Amino acid sequence: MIIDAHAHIGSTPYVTQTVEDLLRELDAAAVDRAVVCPMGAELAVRNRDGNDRMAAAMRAHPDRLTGFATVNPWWEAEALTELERAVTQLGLPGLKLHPVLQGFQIDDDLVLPVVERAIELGVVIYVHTGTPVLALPLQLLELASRYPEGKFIAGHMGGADFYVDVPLSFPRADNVWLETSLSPHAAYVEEALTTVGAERMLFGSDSPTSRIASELFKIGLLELAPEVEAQVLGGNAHALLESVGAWR
Amino acid sequence: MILDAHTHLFDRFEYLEGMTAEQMIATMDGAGVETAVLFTVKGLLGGLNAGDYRATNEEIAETAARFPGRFIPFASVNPRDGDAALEEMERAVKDLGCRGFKLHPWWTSFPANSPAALDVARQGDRLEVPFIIHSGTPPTSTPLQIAEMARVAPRATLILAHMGLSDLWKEALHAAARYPNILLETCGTPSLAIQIAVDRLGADRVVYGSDMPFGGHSNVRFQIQKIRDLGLPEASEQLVLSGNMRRLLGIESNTQ
Repeated sequence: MIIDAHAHIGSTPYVTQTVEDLLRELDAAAVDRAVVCPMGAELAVRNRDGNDRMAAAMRAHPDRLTGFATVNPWWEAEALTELERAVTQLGLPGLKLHPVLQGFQIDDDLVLPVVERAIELGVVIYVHTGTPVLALPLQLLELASRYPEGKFIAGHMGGADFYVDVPLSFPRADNVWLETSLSPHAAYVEEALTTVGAERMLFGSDSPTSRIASELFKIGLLELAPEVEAQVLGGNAHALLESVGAWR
Repeated sequence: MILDAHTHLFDRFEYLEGMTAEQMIATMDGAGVETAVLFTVKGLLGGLNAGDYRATNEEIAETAARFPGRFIPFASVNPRDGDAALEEMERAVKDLGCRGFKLHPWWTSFPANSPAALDVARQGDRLEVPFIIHSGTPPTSTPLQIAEMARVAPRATLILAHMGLSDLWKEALHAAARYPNILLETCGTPSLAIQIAVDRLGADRVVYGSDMPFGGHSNVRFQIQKIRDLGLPEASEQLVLSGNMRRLLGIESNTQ
């Protein structure tokens, strides 16, 4: 089973992706499932709308889509209430945070109540990384070290320039998974497979910013052993989502 | 046949293994790439262990001469060297036959809009040769910083390598919209950014590059596939994959 661990539904000033658009891309690339997150204003500020959109997509296509919620930590107490609603009422098994779009630094105290509530609710926490100065891999590592009971995903595994932090520091963080979208080429993924470990790698596309087929082609170029490829392309994501109750 | 606007010659760089020129050619052959713009890594490094860019410029020119039709040599200089850098630019073009320059403000450690960088841009303008410049990495290599070089060097084409990467591609679009002598290169760039560049600016403003041998042997195929997966009209795809760079450098394809 191939699972795209990171895709989006919604709109930005640059692009719109509907559920149908995403399903077409998934079908074209023969990808079974996708984790979907809000995008644009629904990621930045109108979180409730975004979370409702994710829940609706998941309800309409339970065999294809798993929705992650988002809350902007600047909503403070309201963010905690909305996160609780998104998890307990809407059934979204993950939290997506985007420090750049939501306006906070990953290791800012602002985010701690949201992270603590997400851990209490038992959901996985996906954080965009790779964009200085707000969203750096080592900032996520600080946060993850503080909450060893939490499960974190480093989106884009540090991106292009801050990938360097990954092989140097992430081997010691066993509660952080690495998501491969927008990592600029397959060699970084290949190196992380050995330095960080195949069991912590998650294939993702960031569709519609990148293309699912292109991102899948990138992983395919590594010609991994079948069991390792199966882990990276879906096995790890399946286990991680299962551990937070996604299939209940 | 494809023309790759962005490749480096190195056998080893810190902990990274590079490729020999022969290995690069084998990779190019395997991916349908006829010609690649070739430049250094070592000669781009600033600081105490700085590379000797005069020596690497000679190495690049010699390598290109050994494999006619396969590599287009681009030289590099450190703008902080002032007049010495400007003199080396003239030597690289007139004596060594280099066709342009690769600059890396981040690695070499100079802001792309610093007076020294603008002097280098003006020298490129006098020599009427293109630059390809790493873009997308603050605090020295942002597209709008590099756009200042384009402003003072209207006869020199400025290629923004990586089109600003994931974080600064919107700046790259603005820089290219403002200055017609800016082209945008695609390695490490999100697909959506490439698509929007083609839609808003035109396929004649976007050029394919791979960054080989960074990313290993498979990367050239990935970077090409990323362009093909956009599903551009054939004429547009051809411009991106080779036509624009051929026009810029005035070189014909040996094969169709």
